[in-house]
Amino acid sequence: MKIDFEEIKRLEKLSALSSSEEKLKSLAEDFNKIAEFVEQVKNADIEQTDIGYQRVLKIDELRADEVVPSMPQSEIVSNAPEKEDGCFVVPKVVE
Amino acid sequence: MTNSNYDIVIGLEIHAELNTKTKVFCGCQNKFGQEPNSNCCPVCVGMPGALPVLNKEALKLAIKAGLACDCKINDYAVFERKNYFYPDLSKAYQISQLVKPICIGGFIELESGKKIRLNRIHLEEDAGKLTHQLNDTHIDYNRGGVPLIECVTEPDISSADEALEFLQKLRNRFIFADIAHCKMEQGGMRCDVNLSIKPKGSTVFGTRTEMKNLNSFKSVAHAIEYEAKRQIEEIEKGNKIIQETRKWDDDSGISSSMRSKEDSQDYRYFPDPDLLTIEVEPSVVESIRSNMPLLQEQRIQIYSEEYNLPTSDINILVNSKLVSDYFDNAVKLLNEPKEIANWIITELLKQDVSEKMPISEQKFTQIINLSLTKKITRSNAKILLENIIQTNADVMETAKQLEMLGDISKEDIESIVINLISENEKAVADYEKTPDKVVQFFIGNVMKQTKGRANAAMARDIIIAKLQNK
Repeated sequence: MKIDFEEIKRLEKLSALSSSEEKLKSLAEDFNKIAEFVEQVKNADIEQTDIGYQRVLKIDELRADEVVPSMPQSEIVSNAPEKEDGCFVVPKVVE
Repeated sequence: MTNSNYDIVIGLEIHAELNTKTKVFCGCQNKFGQEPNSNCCPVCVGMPGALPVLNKEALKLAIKAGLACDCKINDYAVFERKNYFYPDLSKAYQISQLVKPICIGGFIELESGKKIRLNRIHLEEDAGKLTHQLNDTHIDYNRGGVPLIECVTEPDISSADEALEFLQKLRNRFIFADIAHCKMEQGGMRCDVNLSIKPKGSTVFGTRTEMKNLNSFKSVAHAIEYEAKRQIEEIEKGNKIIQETRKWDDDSGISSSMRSKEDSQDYRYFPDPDLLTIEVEPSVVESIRSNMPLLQEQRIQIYSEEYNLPTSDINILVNSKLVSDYFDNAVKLLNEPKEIANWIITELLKQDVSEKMPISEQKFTQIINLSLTKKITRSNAKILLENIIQTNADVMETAKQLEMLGDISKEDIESIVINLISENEKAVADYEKTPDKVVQFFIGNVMKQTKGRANAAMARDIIIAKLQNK
């Protein structure tokens, strides 16, 4: 798997980030190193392993619809760099 | 539509918030109109390490929605991450369903007999609410994680009228089956419109645009009419339609481009590793199906065919699930559907019934029964009803206190009439000239003195006999 510069540019756009060309190039290199590392799983011998098995839940095992207390508002927004009237405040973004 | 040389092709995407107590992936309350960020936990705001746990009821309601629309229910439900970067979702992805939506297919039939097919209904989480200020954006994540179903239709709709009829029917099914409240003013139901035009009869679809931000049936109709007209004008001018997302503005009545295809979202879906696959056992689906409340169409049929109610009354009763449920419960207690329908329409609907009915079905039918069995007069029953609505007191106790119960004997009526005749010489003198008027006057007074308990026909006979003997 090869991640080229164009792919990185596209991800930059989708992530609504802005970076220098130099930084993106180095990111592409890092991405490729990570991809190479992950590629190693292809070499694993899985002949004897049932990797198709995944635990499947039945509906009755799901969480019951019962309210548990939420966190206090002050705590929820406590780490926000900016907050007002109990809301998180972020730079204006209109889709 | 304005131009008969073109066919309009419409597909709808409808989002409805489900009637659960808690959110879809955590135990925070699913409740509208709370203080900002007061119904939130680490899952709602996407704190690192927080894990989603699926709400059983949300999945069951999504299945119920599928059953209400004749969908096929999938054997397995899988959740995917839909990645996008926008602050209404702090994790930068929405948990949704792509490959294995819980419901597939299905349809809703319009009055014309035309079937509008559904492509799918899937379960996902709602996003937080953004309020754009002059210089920044405020975020409230209370709505984030509220369970949402998305219903996607096939492009089978050809006009604003058809779209509205479809939406109304879908909404009624969700409301009557207790799936969703669909309060559009609270964002409980939202609609996106995909629209394209093609030369009349052509089998090739034109390029479509998607309109978002439609929060009322009126805006859906306006947006469809506006967009169809716009596309026809573009084509007639020789221009091409650009595939894009457009934002409808209700105030100005126009849509404007939000993003073109080049900018369109690349959601990079992948299975959410935090959520296991769920096996949807047929027994569970059958149990949901057998406990399904009657839908609006089914109630209309019963009220008409079994109860013989007039269409005008039926329309009033099924206009609200609350009223219709109340009527059904009342009929279970007292098998007098016509009488109960009359009493609801003439007496109870004078009150505010937007949130709840003003009196319990038990007390309501008890009062109607007192009237039907002639234990109290109809006019006294109305007074009693108003009284109980105010006080919520015991029906029989109140009827006793108001001296409505107990028969008035023939002798009692005779003695009242004798007194009335001696006290009203002028009326007696007028009897020759205007007998009906005078008899009515005396009946009125007898009823007044007996608080409506006297038998009016008996009183009439006694009055006439006494007056003729004068």
